[in-house]
Amino acid sequence: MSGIRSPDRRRARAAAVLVGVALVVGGCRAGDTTAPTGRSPAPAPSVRAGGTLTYASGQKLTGFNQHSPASASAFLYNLMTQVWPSTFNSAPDGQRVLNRELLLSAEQTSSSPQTVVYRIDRRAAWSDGDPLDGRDFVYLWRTAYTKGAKDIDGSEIAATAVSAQGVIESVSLSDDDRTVTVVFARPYPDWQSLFALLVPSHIAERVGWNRGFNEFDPAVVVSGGPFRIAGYRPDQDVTLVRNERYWERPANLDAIVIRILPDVGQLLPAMSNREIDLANLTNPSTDLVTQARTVPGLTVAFYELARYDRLHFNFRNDLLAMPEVRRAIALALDRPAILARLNGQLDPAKAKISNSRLYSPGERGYEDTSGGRYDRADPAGARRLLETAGFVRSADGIYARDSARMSFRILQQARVDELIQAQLREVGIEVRIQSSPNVVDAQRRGDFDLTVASRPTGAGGKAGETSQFLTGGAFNLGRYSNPAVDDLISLANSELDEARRQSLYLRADQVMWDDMPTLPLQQAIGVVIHRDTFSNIVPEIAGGLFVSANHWGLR
Amino acid sequence: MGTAVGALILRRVAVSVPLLLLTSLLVFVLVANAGDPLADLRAQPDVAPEVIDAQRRALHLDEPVLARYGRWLASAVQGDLGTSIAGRDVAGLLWQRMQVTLRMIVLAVALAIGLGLAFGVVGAVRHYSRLDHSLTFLSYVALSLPVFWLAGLLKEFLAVRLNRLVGRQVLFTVGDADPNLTGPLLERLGNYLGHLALPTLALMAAPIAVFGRYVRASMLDALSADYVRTAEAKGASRPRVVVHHALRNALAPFATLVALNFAHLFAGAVIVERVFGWQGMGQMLLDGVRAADPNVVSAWLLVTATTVHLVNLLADVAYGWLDPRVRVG
Repeated sequence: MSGIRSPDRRRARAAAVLVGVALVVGGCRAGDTTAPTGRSPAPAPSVRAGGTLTYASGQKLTGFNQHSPASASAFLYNLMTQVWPSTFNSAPDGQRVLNRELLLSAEQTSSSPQTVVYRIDRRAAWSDGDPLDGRDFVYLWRTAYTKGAKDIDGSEIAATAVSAQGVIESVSLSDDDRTVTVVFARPYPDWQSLFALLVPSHIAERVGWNRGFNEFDPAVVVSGGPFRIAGYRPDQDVTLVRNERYWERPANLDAIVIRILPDVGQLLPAMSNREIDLANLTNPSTDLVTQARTVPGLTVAFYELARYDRLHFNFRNDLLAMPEVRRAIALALDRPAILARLNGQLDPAKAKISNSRLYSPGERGYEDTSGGRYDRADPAGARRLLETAGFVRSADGIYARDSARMSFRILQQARVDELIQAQLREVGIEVRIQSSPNVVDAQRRGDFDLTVASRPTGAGGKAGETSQFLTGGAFNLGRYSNPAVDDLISLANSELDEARRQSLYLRADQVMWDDMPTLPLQQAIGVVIHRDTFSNIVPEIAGGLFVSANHWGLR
Repeated sequence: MGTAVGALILRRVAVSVPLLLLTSLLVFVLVANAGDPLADLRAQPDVAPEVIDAQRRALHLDEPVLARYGRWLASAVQGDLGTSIAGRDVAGLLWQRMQVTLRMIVLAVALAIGLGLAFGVVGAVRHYSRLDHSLTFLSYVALSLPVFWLAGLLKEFLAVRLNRLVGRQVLFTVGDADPNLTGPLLERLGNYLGHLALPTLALMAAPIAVFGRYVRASMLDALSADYVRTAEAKGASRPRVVVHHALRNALAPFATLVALNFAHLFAGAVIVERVFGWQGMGQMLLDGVRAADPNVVSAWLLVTATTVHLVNLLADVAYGWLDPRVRVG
């Protein structure tokens, strides 16, 4: 679920938000416009029409405009994929596929300047009867994708898609506003991520961007998708009902009720009691999954996420700023043992070590760039590296050089911190566990030496997520900086040819295996739990579930 | 008596107001320093620093904590409790949540008083009987069970099994009512009660035991007192002796006990709401603390502390009414 969260809720919640935002900003292969699937990539086994499904979410809504930072969340993104249409949707493997229910085509007609022409289905309309056309594209361009845009009250528009701001030179309309021609100011490989969750411009221009969608009003939050929002009780539930004015194949279910369950502990009793039918956990705990398997009538299915856990080294620490020290730590760690203790307990078949920083295993483009150097622990190699760098073992077995003792703090995180502590102690590196009331906050402030963090790899669109390896980039937790990596990633982020782009990312990753700014640990896995009476529930690698909700149905 | 009660109220208010101010200051400062309210916003990959700065200014997070407290207090005394970090009107939020929580607490208190009195009186009148031993045993079980555990047991062994047995949803484990509840009044009422039953049961179990034990002990004292024996000797009926003479005397300190337990019930409600997914004041407090939102937590404190003070005051007044010796004193 875009939301039910296991322990360390803050971190998990932030991670979930990131997954959602990554979906929004994520893009795809240039030129992949002829994919055969439409809005919902999932195949559709036979299901009955009608019925209500109740979904559990651990997150709350703070508004309905996913493009606004005040409201954006993975939960809202999930929900709105059925309400506000996008030009491209996410397939289960994370790739972008043309939304054929909205568009007849979307073609890149020129690469210099990059030009894309969208042709909108003439039947497309909002649930209040207003046409869904090029004016909605223009509105999104002038608000979300334009820096310094003003709202109706003169205030500055706050939008999440900062990396897309300024990339569009012009948007022109023709063919009765049903053909949209977008000319880019600079090459933008992630163009398929643009015009996601189109906002009803005829309403937004009246109520405003920043505040107009903060409260629920059925006359304001109109739908251009298979479902419309029919009810909302703040902090409690949201009700989606079939949009009878949807011009394409109607949704199978009559309604989807989303109930807010802040405590994951409520989930299984509620499912046993038939109050909840479906949940999607992107950070599942072993206990919960084990219990879920014992509840009759529930299906428990794991899926790979385009996200991985990695150990961050903080370059603010003088010792960790030395590449030999970082590489020694990487050699000392037994990643297969860590995997076995973490995701291996959830689903050994799906548990995988990630050996790339820019792609996740299971994601198209994934390649092991490590050269096999860190496949298993090499304590002797780690000690050699340290001794070559001038470190000697002191009486207590911990390495030191001059007055610098090999002793680091690791942020307390369930299950993994003690494993790392024990493994590094074996080679003469001391690790002290540092508790923090808010791990994500401590990571952002750089208040750590070592920490394990999880981030998406941006399946379907890399540019937004690559900044974590750029000098001064967002989420560059350890302050890593290498101009060669900056250049390679920047080149890749503006490369329209997918093969060349992928090659540039892989070269950057190879450089990073030498630099070791982070050590990838394990690919994240999610779990979908649903009642057996429902079918066609297909999660996607980026963690979303709702994009195929119009296909969900009773067996 | 009127003057004495008035003086009592004035004395209580004179003590309560500075206490509330001090507590609110302490809580505001603690929460304001508990974390970064914009952490979630910062955690989003594509949010410009200008957006974060604008939000900081809008929420006055760029000002010193004491200045923010002063601003909050000045507005609060005028009835404006400000907005939450998420931009919601705190007074409106509080009112909405209070209706949810009070529904549970008021019912739990009423039932606990009634059942506690009944069990206590029965236990005293038929002390050391099999019934008394059973009630004593059940009381200790209720006192020993942590609320969250009892709530879990009720869900698993009462709700799920009972619903299976009767083949329909009678008891619910999530929320205070079904979403989009429509239909005949009786059906809606049944739905509300079905949601209310388990949380109320979980919340009132311990107070029933406390009240029952207290009333039993007080009644045993009263029943062995001289004035009760005198009443019996004068030919008063057993029910009249128990209710009119013994129980009335036992009730005076009981009023104080109920008032003290009222505060405990608020604390218990935090846990019960969490376990049953109720969006009441307890959940509001947790959300406020998690979001490091001093406006929300301070408003919560203001209302709950004022309520507890008021209930205590009422208990003192009731004590005076029930026990003439206190009035004279």
